[in-house]
Amino acid sequence: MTSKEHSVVQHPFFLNLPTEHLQVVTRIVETRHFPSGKTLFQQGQLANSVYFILEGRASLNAKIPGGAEVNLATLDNGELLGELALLPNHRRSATAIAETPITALRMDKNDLSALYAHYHPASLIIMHRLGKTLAHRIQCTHRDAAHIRGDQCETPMQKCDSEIVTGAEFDVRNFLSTLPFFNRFSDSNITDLLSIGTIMTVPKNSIVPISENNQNDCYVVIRGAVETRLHGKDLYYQTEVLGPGTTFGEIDWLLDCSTASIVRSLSRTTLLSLPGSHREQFMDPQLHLSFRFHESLIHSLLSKLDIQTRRFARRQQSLQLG
Amino acid sequence: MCRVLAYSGPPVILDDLLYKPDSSLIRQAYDPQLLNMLNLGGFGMLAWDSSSAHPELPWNYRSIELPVFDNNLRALARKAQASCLLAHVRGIPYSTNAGFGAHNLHPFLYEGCCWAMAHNGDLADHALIKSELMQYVPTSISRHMQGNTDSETLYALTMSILGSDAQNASVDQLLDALTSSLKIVAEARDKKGIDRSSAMNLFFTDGENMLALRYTYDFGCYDTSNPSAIHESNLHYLSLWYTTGQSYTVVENQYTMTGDPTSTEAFLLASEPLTRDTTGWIEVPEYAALIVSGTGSNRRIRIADISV
Repeated sequence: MTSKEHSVVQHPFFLNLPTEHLQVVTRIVETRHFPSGKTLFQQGQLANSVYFILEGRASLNAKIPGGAEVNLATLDNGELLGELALLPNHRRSATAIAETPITALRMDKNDLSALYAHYHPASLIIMHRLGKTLAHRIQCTHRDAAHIRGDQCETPMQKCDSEIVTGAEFDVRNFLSTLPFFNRFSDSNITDLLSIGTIMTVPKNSIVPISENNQNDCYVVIRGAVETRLHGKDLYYQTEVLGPGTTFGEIDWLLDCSTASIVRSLSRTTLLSLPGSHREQFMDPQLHLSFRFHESLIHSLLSKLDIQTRRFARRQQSLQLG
Repeated sequence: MCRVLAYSGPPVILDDLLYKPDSSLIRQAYDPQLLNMLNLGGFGMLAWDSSSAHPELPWNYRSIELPVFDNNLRALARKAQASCLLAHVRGIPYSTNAGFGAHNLHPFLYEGCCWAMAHNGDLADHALIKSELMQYVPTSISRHMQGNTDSETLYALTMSILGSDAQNASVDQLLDALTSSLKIVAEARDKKGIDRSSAMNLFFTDGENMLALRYTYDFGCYDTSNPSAIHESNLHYLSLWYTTGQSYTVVENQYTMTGDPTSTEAFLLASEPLTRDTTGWIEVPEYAALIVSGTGSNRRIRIADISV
């Protein structure tokens, strides 16, 4: 093992990576050292890289209207920094400063994309682990965001007893490639995905998942919309309104857990349900679908994290200023 | 699909809102960050200047020229200031049926009404429900109508519901009237079996107070007969953002709100942030109205859920 490979495996993100993948990762990361007080990246800059902190501590601060700075997070060794860079044309939403001397691995998003474009198995593992990290972060920010705005819902949502229909009232296949989640899917990717998942249509005001058996399913909205609500202190609060080509349930799906969220259809809604029990199929590097699916899933998670981060910044602002 | 900007606060040179920020309203006409469609159907604005004669009356500018090439607007923006502004760049389908022309430019402000309105969105199948909606619009309002758009119908309908109060209605009265309008439109859609996604991001101001609605009928429901007819507003809930502070100005080459961060003296509302760094901005929740009342340090901002 080279000294650089030794550095890479020190980071928990790359733990237990097969040797051949470790070599690939080593080629696309560079070791960077930052003295205490040094800026790793600046708010507002175009973002193009992700940092894996090997040693040291970084603080993430956002400048808010009025010029004050609020601390969004403090990240220690073993953590990821700047992962929103993987969103297209993303500008840094905060400034990262080394609180102590930092040693970190820097990965350029273009290098990761190149691996991905060539269906390299290492990139599938990286994206899957990234998905889990993002899912965990979103879980944490959801907790913090619980009381940001007056959007609590006092009326508990009632489960609708109307009939759930398997299938759709239109030819779904003709529309998938026009929806954001499937933008990069080929025809064969879509065929493979439809063979794994189930299309269903739920009436307005249905609670999804529709049964205990679907608890860890991941859903993609095909037509219509849903809203997600999370249980806060005493009340439910709305977290998202999701339209065609967006996902929900992916956090539980990735982490194999169950959150306190409730999802309700806002209109008659057609969904693609991907069973949690088939999760492993999306880790097959022989299947091109695995790559496209993870790419879209990561994009979806990053967008949600981006929104939550902004809300969190405003919340921190009001806390700091009393 | 349009982009809108509304400002209320200490007087500001229009250049600082319309041109200078790196994603200013004029730039959003040809390079919006949160929309693929361009907004080349014309520009309109109403601006209130507290130092002008009759400060309660706005001055009005509108042109179907591309705003980026409009020398009159450019020169005016460098010179004029406003304590309240409602400005709109119009996005319309690339078709001869799109109703292009000065008569269809926003914002709308009828004589005898204190509230002006601009719309970012599209009421699907407007032609099918217009006659139903116009039943609620008396001649005293309809005689002011110059255009033929869904946006103007919505404005006329809301002003009609305000009735004699339209001349000096409070923001709460406007909210009630707007909610009634939304219900009337919903019923008309039901009658005609229309369930296509229709975005109703509406911006109102009376020169001091503001009301902004972020609402979409049947969000996500697109026409299933033709995949190529899907529009981006069928897939994405149209955005609406705001930021507050003491004044909006440039700091370290970046436009931002300055002063006490908790201050609401200056209030800026837009379809999308005026800067590419969006950190200082926050989104108005979906299915909600943002209500801004009062001036100076007495300004109050609240969000009301809208259920139709």
